Amino acid sequence: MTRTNWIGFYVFTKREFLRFFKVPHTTIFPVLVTVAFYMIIFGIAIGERINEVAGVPYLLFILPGLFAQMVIQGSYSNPSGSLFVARQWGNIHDILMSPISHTQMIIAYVISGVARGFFLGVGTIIIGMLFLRFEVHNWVILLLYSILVAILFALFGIIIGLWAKRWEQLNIFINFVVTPLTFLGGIFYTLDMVPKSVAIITQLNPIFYLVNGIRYGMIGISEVNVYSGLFFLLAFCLILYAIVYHMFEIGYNLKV
Amino acid sequence: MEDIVVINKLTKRYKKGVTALHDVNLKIKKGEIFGLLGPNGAGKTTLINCIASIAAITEGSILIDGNDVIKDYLEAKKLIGLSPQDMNFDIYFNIYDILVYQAGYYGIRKKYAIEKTEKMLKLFGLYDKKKKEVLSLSGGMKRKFSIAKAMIHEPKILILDEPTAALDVDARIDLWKYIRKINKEGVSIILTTHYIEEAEELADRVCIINKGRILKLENKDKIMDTLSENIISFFLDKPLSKKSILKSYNYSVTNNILNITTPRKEQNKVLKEVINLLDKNKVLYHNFEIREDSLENIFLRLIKNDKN
Repeated sequence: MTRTNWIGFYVFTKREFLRFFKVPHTTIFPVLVTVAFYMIIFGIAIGERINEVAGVPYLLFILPGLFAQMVIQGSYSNPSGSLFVARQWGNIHDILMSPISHTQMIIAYVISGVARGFFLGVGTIIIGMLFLRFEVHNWVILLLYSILVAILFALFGIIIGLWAKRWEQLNIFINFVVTPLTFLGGIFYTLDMVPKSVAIITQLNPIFYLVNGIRYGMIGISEVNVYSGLFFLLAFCLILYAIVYHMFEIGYNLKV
Repeated sequence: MEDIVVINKLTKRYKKGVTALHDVNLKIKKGEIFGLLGPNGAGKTTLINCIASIAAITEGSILIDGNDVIKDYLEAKKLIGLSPQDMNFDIYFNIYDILVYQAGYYGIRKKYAIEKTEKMLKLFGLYDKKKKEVLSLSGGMKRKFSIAKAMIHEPKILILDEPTAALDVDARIDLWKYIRKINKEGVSIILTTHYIEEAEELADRVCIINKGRILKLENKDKIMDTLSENIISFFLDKPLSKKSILKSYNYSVTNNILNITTPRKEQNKVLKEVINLLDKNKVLYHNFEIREDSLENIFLRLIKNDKN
């Protein structure tokens, strides 16, 4: 029976993790600068004209949503970018030829995606702490939501990284799906702050539930049942994992 | 000799319907240097990509030292190192880190991975470039690095796809020495090349492939013996008048030079017969020479015949 290649798995995960530190000018700094601008514009400039939302200052209200957005962006971008570049430059063959199982490859991509998502998420919190102070309401819910959201979008990242044929296709998902959904996902508002039509659209938006789950864990405020959200998140993660595993098994855009 | 690669009824069809390999059967022996020759688009790279698990197999099977490349892919992959024709690059790390990671992928602990990396970089004259990224290396250095990467985990089978492309003459000869050295140490080599003299120089057996089918698979010396067509040239004093005396030979006459084409194994017999014949018919000549056939000419004839 073949012994599991744990060293290969560890080394590949480490390589994927260290990759985004090699290019911080594209993977880290611009994102955190954007967060700082969000804080200044939405939190201070506009937020000062808005009274408390759901019983907390506006800046504190938007912080969990910005955290979620950064976790999503980071966890998506790492595997999608890494896989796409490896396919373009051909070094994906180094991995495909090595005795690392498909499951290990997928987990390595997911772990590195989760790590980058958390790195940006924590960076967002640190920037937020420059403007306000708060105590985490429920660590367990916060961590469960954050990890599952990061896994979910890392898996999305793998799918898009395998599918994309051109660099701009990588950004289609972020620019035309994730960003609009996050803006309409209740990061900046509660349902009673917006017209009914927008509230309905918001409730149909899966990101709304993720943002509320994280907001509940972070500051104890949610407009939905956070426990059922966890269940759906887990189910989505399993479905996406099955899709990604199948793509690796058939060598979708990996093997010629 | 035991077989290290057994290919059974291998067919590879691409998505667009092009069949790159048709029902290929092939056995590569442990410890041999196996030359895979063919024109562009013959299916050589597809064949080695299937062996190395970077191309999906449509039908058939490949066993690497008894391990199926699909069912036992983890075991099979450990045994293979590939230096591909289209070299691939990791653009994020320097060549030292890439080799350490590459060794790690094959389950080699960091301490040994570092030892092996330093050894390979020194062996290929790349040690002083260890902090450089691959893209900054010259074409020849990239090729050497690609081979170092393929060898870092000490595979039993080394696949070299056009290994001396972009190498200068000295570097090519150095690489040939290295190939012979590791082959003596027990590594089986699969070599594809456009330089037929490279196969002639290195290979024990030669497989000529065209349009996804094997045209010839034989010991190199046997191919040379059985398929070589040497040319015996007689430099005549006068134009040949009685051509009919040579009707049983494959001959041509140009500018008072009589060329007789003969299989290498019949060369001495034919030479003797023609000398007698010319003497008997009082055809005078002042010199003769024998031109040896080359593997390249044999290869070209086989491909030409296949086209016809």
